[in-house]
Amino acid sequence: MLALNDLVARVENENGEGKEIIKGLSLNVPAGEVHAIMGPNGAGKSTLSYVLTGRDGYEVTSGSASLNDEDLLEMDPEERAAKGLYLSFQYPLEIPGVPVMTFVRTAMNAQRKMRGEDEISAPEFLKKARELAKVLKIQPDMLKRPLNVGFSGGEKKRLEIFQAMMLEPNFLILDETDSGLDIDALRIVSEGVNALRSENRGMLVITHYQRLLDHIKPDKVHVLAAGQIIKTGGPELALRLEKEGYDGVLAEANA
Amino acid sequence: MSETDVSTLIAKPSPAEERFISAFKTLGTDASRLRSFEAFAKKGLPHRRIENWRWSDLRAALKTSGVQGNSIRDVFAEIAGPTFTFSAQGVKTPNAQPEGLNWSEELLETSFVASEDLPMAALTAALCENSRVLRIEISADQSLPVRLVIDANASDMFSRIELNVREGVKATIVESHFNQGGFSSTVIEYNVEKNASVERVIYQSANETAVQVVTTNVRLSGDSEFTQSALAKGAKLCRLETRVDHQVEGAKAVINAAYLLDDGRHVDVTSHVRHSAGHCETAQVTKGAVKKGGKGAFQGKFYVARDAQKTDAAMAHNALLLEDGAEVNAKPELEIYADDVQCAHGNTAGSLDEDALFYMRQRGIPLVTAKAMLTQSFIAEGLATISDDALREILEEEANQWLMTSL
Repeated sequence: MLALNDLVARVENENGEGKEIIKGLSLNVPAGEVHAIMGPNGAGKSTLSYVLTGRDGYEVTSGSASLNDEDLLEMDPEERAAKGLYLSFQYPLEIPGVPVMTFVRTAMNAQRKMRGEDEISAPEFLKKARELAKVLKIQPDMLKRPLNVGFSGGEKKRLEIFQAMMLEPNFLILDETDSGLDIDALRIVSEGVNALRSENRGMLVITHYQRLLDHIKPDKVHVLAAGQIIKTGGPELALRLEKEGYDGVLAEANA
Repeated sequence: MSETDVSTLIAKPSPAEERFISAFKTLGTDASRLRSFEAFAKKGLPHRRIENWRWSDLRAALKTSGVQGNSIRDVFAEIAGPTFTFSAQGVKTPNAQPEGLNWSEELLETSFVASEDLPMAALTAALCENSRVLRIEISADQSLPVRLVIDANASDMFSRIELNVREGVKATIVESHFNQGGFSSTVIEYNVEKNASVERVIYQSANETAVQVVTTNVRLSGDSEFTQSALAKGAKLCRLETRVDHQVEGAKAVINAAYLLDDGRHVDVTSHVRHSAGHCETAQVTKGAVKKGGKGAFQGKFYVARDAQKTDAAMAHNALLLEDGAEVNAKPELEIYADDVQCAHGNTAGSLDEDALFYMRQRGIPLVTAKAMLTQSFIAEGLATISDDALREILEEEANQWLMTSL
């Protein structure tokens, strides 16, 4: 489903100078699977999520990235979204003046339009939004407020999952979704993510910590360090990292 | 004074000033016109070396004469209400006369005194033909808005309007200021009596050769309310100047505006609010969005007299530079002589938040729509105080149309 082959990418700073962060990364996430990416700070985890979603200033210099055999790298960010790629942001942005409902509906209809589908009807949209808000314990009046403006960290993350459940993407990237969450919020968010698991959908869970993976059980765990996947294993690899830290795995890779 | 004297009032007149001198001669020289013309002539057409006009060089803008362009679409055309239209043909008054709405096509002698501070008001008082003078009196609540349409063509056009809103009366005034490509100057005076409440909604639009000046003078009596909201799209040069005087305690003024400027468009939103009496409030929010080649200017001044204690006045101007090459200048000013007041001003200029734009695109919202949504929400505050939903929605929709086609 998501296939990255020997991907090399640079990040441009404000002065237009490029620095290579992703240095030959290969990864395959088949439909129906959830893969976790763990790694120390500065390994390139967030960079990877921005490279895949097409953010300006993140330039791919070689290699390939495709979703369902379609080349992602040629597409604008909104086209990638319409193809079903969804990034749950580590720090969701505040969108002043645009209520949650308006925002999600605009996004949904824009995606549908790009895919040549009809717009969702207002009653259908409302019904779906109300049901999902209930599941995620989001107060209905929150959906009328400008997206993320004045929301707590936990509320913002819940809204990220709410949007994902509304938009039903083919592939989710969860970037540090557990950061800023208390135990209850972590459980609610994880339940939402687990509800999104399906045989047609893939997920990439980027995280520092094992604790999220207690709730969202990955099929595979990859260790990202210095822009490359240095080790791949099952869920037990995450447990080992939690216990030993990254040093052991890094030393093995360098040996 | 003889005709030759009038010609010598302005040293080295520019072609536009020569035009004004000969127009003045044809109007006959009554004392009031002459006083006004002398006030104008002292400095002539304002230019960039005149402090109050540094970002609106009228002399330079009037170097070329008007070019007739297409007529301007009136977004308020569907709004029902008694309508006064000012055009090259003079004033067209409503067919029906609602109760409590009276008008006459002449001004009282006590009307606006032209001064050197307001050179364009002085010029307008000197050159306004008798056919474009209107005095309106509103002495009972009006169920429909009163509409003023000022629609200039490529010729010079001067108009004078006086609106008197009597004690305790509520009225909505909807103004459309259009210019198809010439020079127009309009002076409007609002006299808002005790406990009266006026909502003023303005839409300005002009072709790109137009030079347009609208000067408004507002006098507020005790416990009166005046709420002004404008959407301006600029012209070759457009100056919207509002002067408000809180004359008696308890008056409240809101002076809001939003401006949207394309390439080659200029707007200058200037205001001068004088708190002569204490316990009065002014709230002012001006929001602008400017594309490459557009020029916005904001000049706001609060003057608080020594006796105007407990004044509460806040001013904000925030501009969004949508592209490189957009220009915005601002001069917020406070001049305060009372010691127990709350006065604030803020001014910002910046660009759209790139992070927010990426976030929106990641959700599938195309870049143009994302920019339009963020800009719309940015300028919304400038129109948010319009209490009539239909009027507010018309201006919001007009802003949205501009954003979707311009970005």
